[in-house]
Order: sequence, then structure tokens, then C-alpha cells
Amino acid sequence: MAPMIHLEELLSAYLDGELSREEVGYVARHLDGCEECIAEFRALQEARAAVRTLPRLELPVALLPDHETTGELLSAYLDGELSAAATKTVVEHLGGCPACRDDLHDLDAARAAIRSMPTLELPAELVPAREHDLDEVRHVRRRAAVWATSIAAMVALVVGISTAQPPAQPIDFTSIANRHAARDSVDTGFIGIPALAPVEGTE
Amino acid sequence: MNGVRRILLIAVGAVALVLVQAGVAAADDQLDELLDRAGQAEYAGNQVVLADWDGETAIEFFEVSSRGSVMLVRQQSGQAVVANGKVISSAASGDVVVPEWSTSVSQDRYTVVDTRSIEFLGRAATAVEVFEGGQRRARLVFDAASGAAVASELFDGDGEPYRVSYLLSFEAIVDEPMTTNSADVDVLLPVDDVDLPVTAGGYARVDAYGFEGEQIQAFYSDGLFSFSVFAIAGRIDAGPLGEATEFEVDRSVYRRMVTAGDVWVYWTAAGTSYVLVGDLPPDHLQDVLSDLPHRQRRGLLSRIWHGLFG
Repeated sequence: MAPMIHLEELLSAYLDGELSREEVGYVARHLDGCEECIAEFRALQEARAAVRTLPRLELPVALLPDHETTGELLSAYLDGELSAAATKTVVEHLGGCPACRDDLHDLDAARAAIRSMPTLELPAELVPAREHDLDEVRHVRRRAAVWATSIAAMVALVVGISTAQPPAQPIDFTSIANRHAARDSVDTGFIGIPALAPVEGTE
Repeated sequence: MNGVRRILLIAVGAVALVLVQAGVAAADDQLDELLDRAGQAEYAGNQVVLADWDGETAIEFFEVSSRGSVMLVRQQSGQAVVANGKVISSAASGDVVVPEWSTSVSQDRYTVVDTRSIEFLGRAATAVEVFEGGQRRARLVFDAASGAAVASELFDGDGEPYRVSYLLSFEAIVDEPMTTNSADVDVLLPVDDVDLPVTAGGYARVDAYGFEGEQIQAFYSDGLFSFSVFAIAGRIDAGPLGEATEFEVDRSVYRRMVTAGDVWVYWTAAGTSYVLVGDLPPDHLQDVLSDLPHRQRRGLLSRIWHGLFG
């Protein structure tokens, strides 16, 4: 018994008669024993039949869009993003181009597969906080910023007050000693040595 | 015990011995008369002054000439002529005159307990002991002929000498020319509005003077000792006085510098810098500082608050 190999990629070519004799034989034997491939084959046959029922309009060759241009429009066609005129052009091309119909089918199948992918659940710690919680956080941050600004201003004020004073004037010991000695000389108290400056005056 | 303190105590012992040998004379309250006469004496000589203030010592030698009310004091660093409220010094500036002064207070709190006739430097002299209550405060020796104060010993509250002064030589005739002329003299003008107490530690504020608009000098006396308090608005650079010995009185911090003849004290309070200079005893100084404006130690927050809002 042949190995159970799913041959989805060969089915489309099988339907189109593009396989060699050996490949056709292989696909036929496989379809005889693989229910999954049988179901896939039937779905593909129905899709081909549906595409073939599209209206066929005969257009002048000059107006028929070329194959590459139409291929670039298939995605937008599936998304419904084309204008009415462009949609009409694509439909007309599909009626006369089996390759683009196959591309359209494949493209639609791929879109369906993507849509069927499971939704990724993020861990709780990565889930953004509720809006209420975010508001609370923003409020606390604003208050902290106000306090920090206030404290910084106060510190700057204190530092400014303590440092923004005029330069200190040097004390004149000679002047002070002489002023005391002058007044002391007319006092009737103890007669000692007149006050003398401990260091030279500043001038 | 350092050298200065040893010299000081030996000197005090020597004078005491002289007093004992001279015998006891009749006590008399002649202090006023003796001090008045000393202020007018004529003499010249070499003088040594020693101070010991809580272990902080100083010693200086002077040449002194006194004639009438004019005294010339000369030392290594310069000289000064002091005469009737006027000081003319050899410094580049600082000459000053006091044009007015009030009558000094009497020595009510002092009593002359003992007066003796002694010899000092081979001359007849009178020695008196001055007491404050039961505390000996001074021993003074006056030359009998000239009236000059030739020796003095001053005592602190514990009865220990803190300053002694002796003439080492004595000349009765003064040949020294002593001029009191100066081209540039600062005149101290009396002021009435003074933010300093009328009395401090038993001393009376006798006079107050203004200087350069922002400085106030208040002169205090108790009849025997005296000092001046200089209140200087704003910050000053106290120089070596700002780094001098730190001490506390009633939890306030002061800086102290001791010279042979005086004590200098520096502190600040309420944005004003203060300098006190005088010859008062150590225990008197503590009482005085307690009565003068002062600042108590504050915590950081308190200092910031008062710095901001007064």
C-alpha cells in the first residue's frame, strides 16, 4: 500500500490535466484511500465549477487588461476595494483567463486559512492596564512631578539665598582696636595697655 | 603647664611676697583717686603683659611713655599714641577720635579691701587689692611719686590670675615727643538708636557711636573693666578671628582670640556680626555674652525656615 501522502498541491494540476501519466496514476491511487484528500478534491472541483459559471463577456482585445495587471488587482478585488469600473475589468479578465481564476481561488483559500488562525492570548502581565488604572497612574505621576518641582524650587531658593549675598567685607582689626582704645582712654577704669590689633588692619 | 602660664604664676607669687614683706596698711576706698591719678602720670618704661585664658596664653612686651593724658605705646609691629579720646597709630589708616563721651560709671560693685605700702622697682609704691563681693578681682600697684600704675594682676572667678602686667623699668622723666596730629582721622559720632542692651553682665552701656553708616560701637564699663561691642550689619570676613578658638555660652557659639591686653570675641546673630574687645575677666565675659544678642543652635530645618522668613 502506498504511503498516505496528502497531495493538495497536485490536485489542482490533476484537475487541469497538467500531470504526467505517472503522476495521474499516483494521485488516483491516493485518492482511492485518503478520505481527507477526497474531500479536498471535491471542494476544489466545486470551486472550479463555481468560477466557471462566472459571466463571460467578450471585450475588444485592446480593452482586455493584460494578465500581470489583473493579477495585481485580485487581492483588492477580494477585499472589495476596487472601484466599479476596475471590478468590472477584473471580472471580465477572469472570464477568459483560467490561470487568474486559479490564482483567485488560491488567494481566497490562503485568506481563509489566515482568518481561521487562533487568536493569540497575551500573558496577563503584558495586557495593558485598564483605562481607570492608567488614569490613576497618570494622576500619581503628575502629583509626584508637582512635588519634585516644588522641592527643587525650594532648594534652589534656599541655595540662592545662601549664596547670592554680597561678598563679605574683611574685618579691620586696627580700626576696631583704635576705636575701642580711643573711647577707653577717657574711661576712669583700670589703666592698662590700650587695645592693640591682634593682626594688621586690612588697609 | 606651658611657659607663659608658669611665668605668670611666678610673677604673681613674687608680687605677693613683696606685699607680705611690706606689711599691712590701713584699707581705704582710694580706688577712684588712685585710678584718676594714674591716668595723669608721667613716666616711661618697658612693660610686659601676660595673659592666660583657659589655657590660651599670650605674652607681649611694650615700650610705654605717659605724659599727662597722653600715652605712647610702642611694640614690634608699630606704635600708637592714645590721648583723651584720640588714637593716632603708625598703621596706614585707622586714626580715630571720640569727640564726646559720657561720665563713666562708678565702681559700685568693687571694694578696696587692702591697701599696703610697698616697694616696686626700688621705688615707694602703694598696692591695693580689689574685691568683688568675696572674690578677689585685682591687685594693683601704684608708684607713690608719679601715681603711675606700675603693676597689675587680674583674677578670674576662680581666683586664678588671667592677666598680669609689670613695668620692668621705670623712668620718671619722659623725653619722648608724642604727637597727636593726624591728617586723616575718623570721627566717631554719638548715636542714640542702638539695638544693644543698656546693661550687660553688670556693665553699663555708657556711650554708643556710629561708624561708616552700618557699624555701631557700644562702649560698656563697670568702672574698673570695660569693653566695646561692635555691631556690623551684614556678613563680614572675620579673618583669623573667624577661625579662632570656639566656645559656647548658653548654647551659643562664639570665637575667641586672646591677646596680652584684651580678649576679642566674634559671633553672629540675626544677620549682624558682632565683635567684642575688652579687658574684662572670663567669668564676666560669660555673663555679658548672655545678655547681648546671640543665636542659639538650631536644627537644619529651623535654620532654613529662619533663613527664609526671618
